[in-house]
Order: sequence, then structure tokens, then C-alpha cells
Amino acid sequence: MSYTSYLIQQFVNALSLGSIYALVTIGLAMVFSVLRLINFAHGDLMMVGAYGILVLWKAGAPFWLAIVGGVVASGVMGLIMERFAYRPLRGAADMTTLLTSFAVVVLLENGAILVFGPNTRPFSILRFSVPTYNLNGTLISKIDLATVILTLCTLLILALFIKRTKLGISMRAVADDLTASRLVGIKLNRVMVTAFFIGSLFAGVAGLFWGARAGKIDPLMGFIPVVKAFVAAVIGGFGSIAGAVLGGYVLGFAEVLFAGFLPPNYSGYRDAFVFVLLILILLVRPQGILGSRTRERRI
Amino acid sequence: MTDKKPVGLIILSLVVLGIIVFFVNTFANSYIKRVANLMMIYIILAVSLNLLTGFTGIVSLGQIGFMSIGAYTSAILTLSPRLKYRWLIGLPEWLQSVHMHLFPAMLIGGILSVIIALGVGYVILRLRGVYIAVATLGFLVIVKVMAENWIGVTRGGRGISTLPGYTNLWWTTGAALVTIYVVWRLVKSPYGRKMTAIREHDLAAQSVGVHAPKIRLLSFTVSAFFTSIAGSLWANLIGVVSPGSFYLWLTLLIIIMMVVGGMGSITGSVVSVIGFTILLEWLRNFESRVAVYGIHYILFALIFMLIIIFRPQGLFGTREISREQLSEFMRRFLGRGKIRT
Repeated sequence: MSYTSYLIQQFVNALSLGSIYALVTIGLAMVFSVLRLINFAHGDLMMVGAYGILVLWKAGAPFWLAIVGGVVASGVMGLIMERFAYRPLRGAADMTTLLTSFAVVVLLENGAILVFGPNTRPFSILRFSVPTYNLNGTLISKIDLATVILTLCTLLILALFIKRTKLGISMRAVADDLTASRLVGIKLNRVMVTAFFIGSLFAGVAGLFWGARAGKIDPLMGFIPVVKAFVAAVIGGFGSIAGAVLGGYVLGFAEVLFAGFLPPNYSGYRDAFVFVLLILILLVRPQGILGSRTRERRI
Repeated sequence: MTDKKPVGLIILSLVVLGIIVFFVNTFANSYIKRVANLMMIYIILAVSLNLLTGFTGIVSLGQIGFMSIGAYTSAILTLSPRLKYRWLIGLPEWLQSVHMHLFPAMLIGGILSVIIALGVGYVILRLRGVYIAVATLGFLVIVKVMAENWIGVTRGGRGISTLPGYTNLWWTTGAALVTIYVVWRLVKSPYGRKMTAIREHDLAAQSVGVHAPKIRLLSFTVSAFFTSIAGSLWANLIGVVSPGSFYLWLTLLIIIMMVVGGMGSITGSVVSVIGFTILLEWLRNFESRVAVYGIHYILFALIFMLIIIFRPQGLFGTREISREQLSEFMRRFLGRGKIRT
């Protein structure tokens, strides 16, 4: 295997990891920009989606139906979360809502352990019969390719939704100025619910890819991605959707770089390096790469 | 608050507390003793976090990292040299032969945490709001990853075990009292007023001449010191330190206790810690009785959410329990004298 093909493989790998982070981060950022809520339970929506897919698939549903069903399940769980945990707390202090989201994490993860058991389950729904493409010795995994392409498609749809539809425009308005958008008659509740629902759907899709990438899922699978997404959101500038995508990809590339270039006996320190990188970025740009100073004041 | 200090009352309550500590420490079974010790350690943690988050308005998810530093430092210093030669081969020779008692180890851990807090705080406290939360979470992750991977010093994931177990209720209660006293005095001092000013409005505080970065750093460092002391006590109470002990669950637990007690209320934190420690033990017992594992986490989370939905500002908000309130409450509770207006 030549050096170039190694580089290409790592590039695709980073792109696919970054895509997953981008998907998770978008949901986090959408919810944050509209509700001013940091939802740590977002990662558990991935878990709900992945388990939904697995259950439907095991029950004999066709491939596409299982995926759609799982993703919708994660959206519905997001709606339930919004209604019962976060809506009663609207306008409370940041710390309070942040903590509530932690409580929801505890609730969902232990609930999942009770329902599905603590064990890891194999997750092979996206395993195609031939796992890799071979281009002149460059091996590219089909899952990575599917992840990248499908992520780009969903991003395109999201961009169209936000730029073109009435609901998307009102969403941006609410993110920009809550009081003013209320004054011009935007229905706040509808916008918030939509943001939560779409964010949760994205989490479901991310859960599918994350599970497919690891080949297994477990009830605690959501926590690491959501912490990483949190980092990605901060790198990109919290609350900005473009920033979320950028931050996701930056993080994906940084991780693959650390994994590739750190000596093996330092590989355990990878997460530490990620956070050092984060703090370095924040030192140069305290509001994230695409965050604006004026918005940062209001957070 | 009257100007005259109620010296007699303070001495009386200290004596009563001393008697309680003496009886629990001498006669109670090991389970009760452990819970009482943990309660005191949680009080230290919650009160010092309250100084940072409640009074200064800095949302930190990383304070438990300092607890980890304190716990590992005192574990290394109090472990018997014989075991250190075997397990902690990465330590320099002079450290391997050191064998200390709890108090000096605690102080050294505290000082080390202060030094680290000065460095970390200098970098992190320039950020705002959510960004501080993420950066401090990063600090927590970095500390945990170090504890897992720096095997020559921390013994990695297996942790350092068979610590001498010096901690007893006298130590923990004493440390909790000192923490409460220092934080109380700090909060009531001009520094404390500056902290509150920064919490309420950063820019306005700076415009009237509060040197915000210095005050934030002060708050962060004091909080880190006491958190580290709590870590030292914890290490010698449980007897084992491992990377997983000082991570998200403990972070969450302490923040929950602090928020439910009321951000900005020291007495609130104390009451809330006592309540939650008992509740948690009760839920654990309940769990082992019904044999549905994990149910105590679920119930705990549900109870927290219910409390916070009905009282978003916490049980006490920013108020403290004063002597007058307490005596009025006692009077009403005992049914004597109808104060009600």
C-alpha cells in the first residue's frame, strides 16, 4: 500500500467521522440557537434512533423502513423530551436547564439499560455485502462513503429548509432575536418544537452512522459523541449552524490526525489532545471560529 | 443579622456537633460512618462549587478534576512505601520513600491544586458562559485521561488501592466547618460583593472598578483548593482511587445538590447535601430490595427534575437560613407562641 493511498484512506475516514460529528452538532446548535438550551441528552437521541432501527430490523421490517422508523423514533423522543423536561423550564437559569438535560441523560441511559440490557449489541444494518471499494490499492469503506454522501444530502435539504421555507426563516428570526420575532407574530412554540424535532431527526441519522461505523451499539453510546459535538459546536461558534458543520469536520480531521500521528503509546491521550486543541482555538477566538461577538454577549 | 456575635450560641452548637461526631465516630456501624463522612465531603464540594457558580456565576463542569488531583496526590503521599516501590515505578526515588499522614498530604494536594488552578483559570476564565462550561469539561477529561494513562504514577485504570484510611468523621467534619467558615467570610467580605457584582453584570462591575479577572481567578482558586481537600479526604475514606471515581456522575451529583440548595445560598447547599445524601442511600437500599438495577439513578433524576420544575431557583434561592428564621421555625414547629400575622 502506497503512502498516497494511505493518505486518501485517512482523508475519507476523517471526512466520514467529521460528517457524523457535523450531524450531531447541527442538532445541538439548532436547539441552542432557538431555545438557548444546551441539550446533553442529544446524544441519547442517537441511541434511541439506533435501537429503534435495530428493533424494527430484527422484527423483520425492510431495510429502508427500519431506518426511517428509527430516525422518526428519535424525533418523537426529542418531542417528548421538549414537552416534559424543557418546556416547564423555559426562561430558567442556564445552569438549571443544563442540569436538567444531564438528568434526562441519566433517565434515558438507565431506562435503556432496563429495557434493552446493558450489553453491547451488534449493529450490522449498513454492512453491505462487499465492505470496501478497491481503487488501485486504495481501500475505501462503503459505510464511510455512504456516511459522507448521505450527510451532504441532509445538509443540502436542511440548508434549503432554513433559507427557503417560512418555518425555516422564522427559525432564523427566533435565533436572531427572540423578543423581536415574537413581536412580529412568529409562533414561538411551533418554531421551538420544529427545531427540536429536526435536531432529533439529525441525531437519529447520526446514530445510524455511528452504530454502523462501530458495528455495535450500547445504551451509553450517545455520551461520547455528544461531548465531542459540544466541543465541535464551541469550535465552530455556539448556535451557528454553519459553525456546527465546520466544527464537526475540524474535529473529525483533528481526531484522525491525532490517531495517525501520535506514537502508539500516547494514543490513550487522544481525547486530552482534542481538548487541548479546543482550548487553544478558544484562546485565539473566544467566541469560536464563526461565532460573533455580539451574539456571544447574550448567551 | 445583629452586630453582636452570638458567641455563646456558636460554642453551644459546636459542642453539640462535637458530641454527635464523637458518638457517631465511636459507636455507629461502618455503613453509617461512611455515609456521614461522605455527607461531610459532599458539603465541602457543594459549598466550594457554590462559591464559584452560585456567587461568581462561573458555570464549571470541571471542579471534580481538582478533586481527582487532590485524591491522587494524597493517595501517593500516604500509600506505604513498600507498595509504592512495587506499583508506582514512575515516581522519583524521594517520592517513593515518602510516607505522610493525612494532614500534610491534604495540604500538599491543596497547594498543588491551587497552582494548577491558577494556570488553568488564567487561560479558561477569559472565556464566557457556555464556553467556560465546555473548557472546564475539557479540563475534567484531560485529568481523567492523564489518570488513566500515566501508569507509572497513577497505576492507570486499576487505581491505587489499600490506602491507609486515615479519614474519620473528625477530619471530614472539621474540614467541612473550615470550608463553610472560609467561604462564608469570603462571601461577606468586599471580595464576595465583587463576586456577586460580576455574577449580576460583568460589564457594570468592571465599569465601577472591579478587577473582574482577578476576582474570578480568586474564586476559582479557592474553590479548587477546597475541592482538592475533599478529594484527599475521599481517597483515605474509600481506600481506593481510580480514574472513573472522579468523573461525570460525581460532577453531576454535586452540581445537582448545589442547584437544588440554591445557587448563592451556603446554608441551602448544606441542607440540600444532607437531604440528597440520605435520599440517595435510601434509593440504593430500595434498589437492592426491588432488584431492578439502575432504578435509583432513574428515580434520582426524576426527583431532581420535579424539584427543579417547581422551584427553578432551588430550595433557598440566594437566601440564607438566619438565626431568627430558625428560631421562628422552631417555635412554630413546637406549637408554642403563635407568630403568624
